Amino acid sequence: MTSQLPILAVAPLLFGAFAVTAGRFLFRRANYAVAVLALAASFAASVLLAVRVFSQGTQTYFVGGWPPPIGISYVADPLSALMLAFVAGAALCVFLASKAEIETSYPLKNSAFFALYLLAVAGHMGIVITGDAFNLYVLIEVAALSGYAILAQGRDRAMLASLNYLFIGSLGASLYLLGVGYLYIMTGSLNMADLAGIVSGMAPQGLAGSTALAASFAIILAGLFIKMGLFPFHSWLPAAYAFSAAPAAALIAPMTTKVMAYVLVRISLAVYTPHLAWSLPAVNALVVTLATAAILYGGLCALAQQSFRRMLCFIVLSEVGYMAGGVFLGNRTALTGVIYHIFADLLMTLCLFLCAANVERATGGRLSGLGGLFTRMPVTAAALAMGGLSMIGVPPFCGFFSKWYLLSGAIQSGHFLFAAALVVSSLINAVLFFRIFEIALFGGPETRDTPDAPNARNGHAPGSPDAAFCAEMPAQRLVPLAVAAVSLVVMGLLTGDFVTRVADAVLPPGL
Amino acid sequence: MDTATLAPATTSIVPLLAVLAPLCAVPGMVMAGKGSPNRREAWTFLAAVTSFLLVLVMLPTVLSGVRVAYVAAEVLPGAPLAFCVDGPGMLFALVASLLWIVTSIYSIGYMRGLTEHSQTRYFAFFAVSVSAALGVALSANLFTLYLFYELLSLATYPLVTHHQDPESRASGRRYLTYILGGSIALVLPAMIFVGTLSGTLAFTPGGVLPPGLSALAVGLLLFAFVFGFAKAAVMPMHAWLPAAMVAPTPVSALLHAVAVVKVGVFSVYRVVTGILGDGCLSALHLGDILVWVSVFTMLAASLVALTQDGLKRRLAYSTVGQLAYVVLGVALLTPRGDTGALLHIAMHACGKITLFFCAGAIFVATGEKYVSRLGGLGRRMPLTFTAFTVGALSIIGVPPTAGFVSKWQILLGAAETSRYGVVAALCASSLLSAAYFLPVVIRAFFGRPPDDAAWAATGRGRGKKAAPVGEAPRWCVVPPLVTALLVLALFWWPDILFRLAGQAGVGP
Repeated sequence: MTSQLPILAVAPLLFGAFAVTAGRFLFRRANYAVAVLALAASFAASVLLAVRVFSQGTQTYFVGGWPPPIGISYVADPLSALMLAFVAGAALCVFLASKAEIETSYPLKNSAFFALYLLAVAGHMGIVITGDAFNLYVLIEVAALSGYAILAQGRDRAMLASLNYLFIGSLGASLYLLGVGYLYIMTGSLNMADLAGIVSGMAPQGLAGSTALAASFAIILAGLFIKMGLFPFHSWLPAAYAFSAAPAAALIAPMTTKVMAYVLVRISLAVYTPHLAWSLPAVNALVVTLATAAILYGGLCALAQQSFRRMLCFIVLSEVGYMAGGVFLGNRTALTGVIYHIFADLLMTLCLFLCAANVERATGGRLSGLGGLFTRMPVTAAALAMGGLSMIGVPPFCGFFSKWYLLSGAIQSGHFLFAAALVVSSLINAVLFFRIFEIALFGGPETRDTPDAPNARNGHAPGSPDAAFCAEMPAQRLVPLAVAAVSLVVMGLLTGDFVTRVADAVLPPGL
Repeated sequence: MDTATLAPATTSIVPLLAVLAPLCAVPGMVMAGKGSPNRREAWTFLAAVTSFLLVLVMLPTVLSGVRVAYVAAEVLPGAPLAFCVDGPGMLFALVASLLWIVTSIYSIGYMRGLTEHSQTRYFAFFAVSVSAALGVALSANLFTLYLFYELLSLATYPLVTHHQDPESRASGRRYLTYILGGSIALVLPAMIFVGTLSGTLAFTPGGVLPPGLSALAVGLLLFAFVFGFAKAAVMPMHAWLPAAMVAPTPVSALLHAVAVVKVGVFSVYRVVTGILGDGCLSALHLGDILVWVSVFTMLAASLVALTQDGLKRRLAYSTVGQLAYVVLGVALLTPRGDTGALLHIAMHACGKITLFFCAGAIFVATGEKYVSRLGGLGRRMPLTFTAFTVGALSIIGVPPTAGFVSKWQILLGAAETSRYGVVAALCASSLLSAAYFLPVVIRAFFGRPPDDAAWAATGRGRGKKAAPVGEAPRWCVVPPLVTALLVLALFWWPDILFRLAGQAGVGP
């Protein structure tokens, strides 16, 4: 049974997706419970898998019993097992917190949303655990297509933004596929572990020795950067995340960019090996420059935003720069920082997007509407403060430690511009979040006469007296949020363990 | 670098408990809340006394020359979340936790006397701030120190902006810009740079930097730390301090005369002696530059203080000047300089907290904030102004007050290193402090009250119209008297502090 854990982590979601689709006609009322069950089962399996991997070492699972190179293998090493648990946990948190939100945001389409949600989670988890480069592409598409669909439902330009995301995202996935095609032609294999051996044998001196391999690497990178939303391929991201319904954004924002960063690390580590991935100085310099630009651009745009969620979207862009740049700084410390930051940023984004959902429901989500937040919604405000401080990089929140490793890596490798961008980004985040704290502390509740204030739908007439005190959200929305917020500190305090047991375990020793 | 010369250490969880004690009281305070203020304040006292006792428990061990160490979490390689209590840390922790008890008494009188709003928030963040200050005092390495330094910056923000009006909003912005800006933009990169170069951030006598660094590199590091720790208020990073005077007076008293600013100079002390190293700095002649930066701050701040009419603002500039003494003592890079600097942390704390308590008592009793309007008040509030006089004499450095002891050590330290210009500057600075404090005292005791119309007008509100002004409520008068006595006592019995500060010189 326990040896089946890798597939058990993903399978409940797929079956759950079928079940809720069928259940639409049969047991509609139980659909939410079915979906929760599927997510919980998958989370439990991932946690058990992680425990097993940490005690017994890497687990390899052959899907359908077919050994590679014919079949698809699932590889659960410390990194992927933990990532799996984080993704499943985040998905469960968002789903539990958003029950009421889903019912109002997707009227009459609950079942469809549940199915798409489960598929999106399954896709992302599959990406994390698969050991096959082509299967990875398939799962990227599974994750992305269901993602487009749930992001498309929302206000204003959500549909258009999602269509835009679909075009650009498909381009990214296609480029990845093209790159894998090159690799397949060169090596005849699609299994990552297999590929690693063949590739380093073909170009022992570095990618410059083999144009085709270099091309495959560059094309795969381009595809991943588009999917990650690295500047200047970012234009789809803010609109897609900002206009969609809150639960969709809270699910996709923490997952997609982070999982794609994970793929970037995985491809650089396991397929090309760091030695080859860093062998093209021009690529390194270009990526670090783009990442520097992304960090600054994201931060500056975030400063200009009036809506809380849109501001978060631009912070996500900035964080993508951290991860993409960190991979190409070319040393172990930076790569440790990237691996740590994937997890830390997942938690921070989760925490903040859940806050955004609560805040939007209560106040409409404009920054100017956050007045008095600390007294009106103390738990949400406290979580927002914790998420914000983590983004700024205050110890002992986890955001500090990723910054620590990335900055150390940048200084060690002499990329002082990138280091400066990281520091500036911290300062910008400080301005962004203290601006919110200031409004929350000094401002009174705004009189709400904006026509599009979504609070009209939660029963409060705009400007009604109880709207000013509409106080805190129900516990169902607060408990997942509190879990996310507290995990920021826990992750921070466990940094030492994380680095020795996860990062050091997957980074090649001689790096 | 040479661990053999380090004092022996014993492992104990007490330092962690001392830091956590104030934090543990916060839920109690919040739950007691507005409904039962007495229960809430009982939590404050419980926490204050507990953490003071926990610090006191470690005193005999530390006095016997043994450090108390505890590793709470292995977070970063070479920089765990760890505590280590040595003489200087013990000295600072004693001062901070003892004065917290006194300030708690005073806070109750002040906040209730003025019926301030959001008192629960006030007391809760006060406790967090003290916890952070203790954390800085007891930290074993630069990372732990930075963690608590940042916690302190954040926890004091709601205190500084307590009044939630446009003025405090502007001050809060300035406060964060300097404090958070300095620590993120300067200290964090410098700290990571040191970590990258030396692989450890533990405070080590003689410093941790590898040999062979250029003067430019070490100089950049030194000034990134000195200016980055903006709480030390070395000019030009001082402008937040006068602005932060919008806070309620007990906040100014504990945080801006004791905890926050002293955390700043203590951090500078730790970095200079434990990270960069006296030897390294004096070999590169960087101490001299820091000496002159602090001498400039000392004199310039005193000159500005002369021009300030707001009593608290005058005290604030005086603080900037006095903090520069500490930095100066550290910058001398000699054991006597360090001893003087550490003593001055304690001595100035007692003197300045007395002055702030008095300023607050005057405000509670009369609503007056300006020096020019204090005429004749000394005759109506004799106890308050006696305490004020003692505090002022201590800041000037007149025996038999505590301020003399530490200033004398710094003066000797400067003379020993043949820096006679510095000696002259120290004397000039004392004269300047006399020039900005004595007129206040003289005016209060011997001056004429301001004209009657304005006098009556300021008695507005608070049900004290035109009634003759007397002393502030007892809760506000006793604390300054206690600290004033402490100032006098420390002149005669500075022995324990000397022994603690003397451990600064331990090591190569």
